[in-house]
Amino acid sequence: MEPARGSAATTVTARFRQWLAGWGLKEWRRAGLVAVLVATAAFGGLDTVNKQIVDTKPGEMFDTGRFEMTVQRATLVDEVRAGDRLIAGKRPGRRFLGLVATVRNTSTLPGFMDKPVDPVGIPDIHALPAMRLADGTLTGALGPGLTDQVVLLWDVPADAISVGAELQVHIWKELKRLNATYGQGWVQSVTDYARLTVPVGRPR
Amino acid sequence: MRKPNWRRVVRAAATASVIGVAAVLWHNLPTPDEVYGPFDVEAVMGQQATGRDIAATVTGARIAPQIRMERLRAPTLDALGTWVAIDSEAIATRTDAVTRVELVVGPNTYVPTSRLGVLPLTGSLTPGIATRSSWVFDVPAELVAQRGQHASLRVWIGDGRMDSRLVVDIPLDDSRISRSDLIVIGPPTLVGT
Repeated sequence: MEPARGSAATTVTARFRQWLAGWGLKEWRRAGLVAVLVATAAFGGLDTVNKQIVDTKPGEMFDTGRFEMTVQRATLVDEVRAGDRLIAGKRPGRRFLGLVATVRNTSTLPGFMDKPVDPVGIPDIHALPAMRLADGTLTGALGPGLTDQVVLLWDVPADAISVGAELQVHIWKELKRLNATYGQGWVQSVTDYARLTVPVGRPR
Repeated sequence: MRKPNWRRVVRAAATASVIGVAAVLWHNLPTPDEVYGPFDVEAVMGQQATGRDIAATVTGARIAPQIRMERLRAPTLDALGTWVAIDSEAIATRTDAVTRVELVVGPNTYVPTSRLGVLPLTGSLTPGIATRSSWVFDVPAELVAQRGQHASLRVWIGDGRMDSRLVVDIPLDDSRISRSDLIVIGPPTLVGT
């Protein structure tokens, strides 16, 4: 016969309903919060976000994930020359900031070396193609397994920074991701970077 | 005493299972490669590969630690690894187009060097005029030193999504691969078809 089981189930349900009926705004808010956390956790909502900032200095290697990068020095010039070849000429109100760095691509994809490097606090700054220190040729992407010493170049306002100043540089960590369109690619971390201060010198 | 409201129970269970299934699906989405990937047109060295908007034939390859353009005062450039010049003939088949090129060697992918400036095959190709020249890559020497190694040249137009991509297999110990101390890149040959 059913009555015993039915009445037990009904009692449990009734008790539960009664318990819920006793909830106030505080309890419902908590329940709502738990529901949101549970639902978003399934989509990565509870993934750890740890901001990691590493202090480094010129001459010390930092591994971005894609590149092993050692910044050596910074130089501010009015024009960029490679031997007798003019790479970027003088322009009123503008100067060129060069960051000499040794870079090794440890990934399996080619990559542009200036991507993870970010001179901080300079407005109206434009990146130029990196230049090889050895022969002044413009070197776009560095292939996997290759090491080169390059000058990362930026076109900056003449009054934004001067010789003798301390340049703040952030080198961002990079993560291998699938692109939004297709294929694999490297994207910048939004939380992790190395910070260093590089004295700005004159051309040698 | 009330019976449980089965309609509500079913609704709650359905909502929970929809969220559960959505989470599983979200963690197992097809990669963009699987959705938008190019259609590979495969060929071997010496054979023409013809895609929707480009056709190309790899005729040989040269490997050397130094390279120079065949013109007055052109500097001789050292490779970081070693230079690999893929000698090819390519033609656009529909409209003027700039090629995108990759060389896959072992696990790595390389793009043509920019240190020589813009070479004819990395510039714009024209329908009806075939261009014979080279794509030049800087590759770690040990990757191309091993016997029996293969490289794969990929050539396409635009961003490559859902379009044809030429994939040419290049056996690195083939007789059409030459190894020397210096590669000289001569002027391109343009052939009307």
